[in-house]
Amino acid sequence: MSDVKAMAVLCELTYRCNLQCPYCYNPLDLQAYRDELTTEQWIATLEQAAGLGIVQAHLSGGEPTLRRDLVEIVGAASRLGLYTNLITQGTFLTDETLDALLASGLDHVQISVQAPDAESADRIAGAPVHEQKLDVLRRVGERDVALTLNCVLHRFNHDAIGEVIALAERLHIARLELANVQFYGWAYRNRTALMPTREQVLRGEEIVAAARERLRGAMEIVYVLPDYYAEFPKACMNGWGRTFLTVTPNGYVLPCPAASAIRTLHFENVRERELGEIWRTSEAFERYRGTAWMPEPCRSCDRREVDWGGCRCQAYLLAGDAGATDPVCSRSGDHAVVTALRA
Amino acid sequence: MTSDAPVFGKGVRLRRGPDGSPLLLVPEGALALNESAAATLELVDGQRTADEIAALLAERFAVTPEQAGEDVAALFARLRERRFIVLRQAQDDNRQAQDDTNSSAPARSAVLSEARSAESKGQDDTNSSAPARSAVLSEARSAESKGQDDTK
Repeated sequence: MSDVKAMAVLCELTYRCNLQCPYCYNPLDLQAYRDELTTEQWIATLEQAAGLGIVQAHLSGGEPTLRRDLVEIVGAASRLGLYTNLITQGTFLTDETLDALLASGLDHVQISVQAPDAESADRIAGAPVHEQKLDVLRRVGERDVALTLNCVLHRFNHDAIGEVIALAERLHIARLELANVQFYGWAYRNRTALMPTREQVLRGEEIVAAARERLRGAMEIVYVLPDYYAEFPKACMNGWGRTFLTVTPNGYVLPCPAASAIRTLHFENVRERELGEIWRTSEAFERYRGTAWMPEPCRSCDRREVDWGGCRCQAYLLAGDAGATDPVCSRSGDHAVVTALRA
Repeated sequence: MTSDAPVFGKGVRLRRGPDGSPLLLVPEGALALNESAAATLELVDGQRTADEIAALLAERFAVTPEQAGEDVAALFARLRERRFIVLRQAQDDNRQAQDDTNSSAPARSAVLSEARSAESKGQDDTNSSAPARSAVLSEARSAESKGQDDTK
């Protein structure tokens, strides 16, 4: 398949985290991931990724700065020519760590806030960290590294989108990601509480549209749509096994960071097999690659190479079948499951 | 046309994939470039103005200076919307824009020359002044045609 080309790897270095955000997409059985890859194993994985043609490494978690070897891992990725992106909640980024990461070649850092104000943010994060994050954001902003401010949106902060944008302006943020919560892992478990209302979603979209217009050229606002209110599903991972792969803290290679929820697939591990081989031949990647696996209504749909059938994990979670059309799609026979979950 | 010099925004890197295809790596994504867009961006050094870049391209490739000027302007306009390109002497007093002028152009060029020549199609591919490249500049308009920046 000529359009299959591995471009990016998400390295989930650890699932450990000092925060307890209810919207986390990490799996529920966190204790199963404690046997983390060693420094050498991560570096070997990155070498195999570069050999596979991957050009970008996203380093995430959990909280990746809890890995004591993070600087070493960033340095190795950078020497391999990989673009390095650190996705962090930020509270451990001391000046010393930050400078070491930049000296190792870090290209971009994404830092999250939970809400625009400390009271709400700290309640959502489950720890008093908001003020600390603002300090980190200022210190990162002073340095020569690209920075994205991220805020995950859900019922408890959706009404504050305007204030999040204002905060980003005060911090001179050039790239803001406003991401509606995606319901996987812990977020799936907490979906009833987290689901924004239709009114919130509609108002939020208006505010974002106006801010984009006003801030054109000064701030890029990335808006991740709320799955459950969409007419068509997202093109999850640009298609299963098409451009993207994830490595879990203990070495399993997944087509999607949420895929470990799919119990009907067998995933392989970099401890046992080379990354490129897993990408090319493993059953889990092959199963939903391309369009041949698709059932109706995807199979004959004019959008089959637009959204690639949507998200396999969502199909598994909501329809009980990872090979079904994503129930988010209004053309899915299971779509009523989604409309019933809307708030 | 402005007289300011375009420069890559923070966290934006031009490089070649292992198959030799030009890519613009950006925060959390990658844009597949065609050769004409790559030829244009390889001339971005924080010193040359867009007009100077267009003039160089018109000398190297079989296009009129007018056509080159239009194509370069169109490409930079698109990339500036997402701050993948910023102007070195930006007139506004936005602090971020000022910061961007500090991300020094020579460092970007160094990244370019470090592109993995062993894996690219030929040594010319990593050379910013590759005369062998036969790109048609007017293709610059579709620079982002294959772009997928939501790799996450």
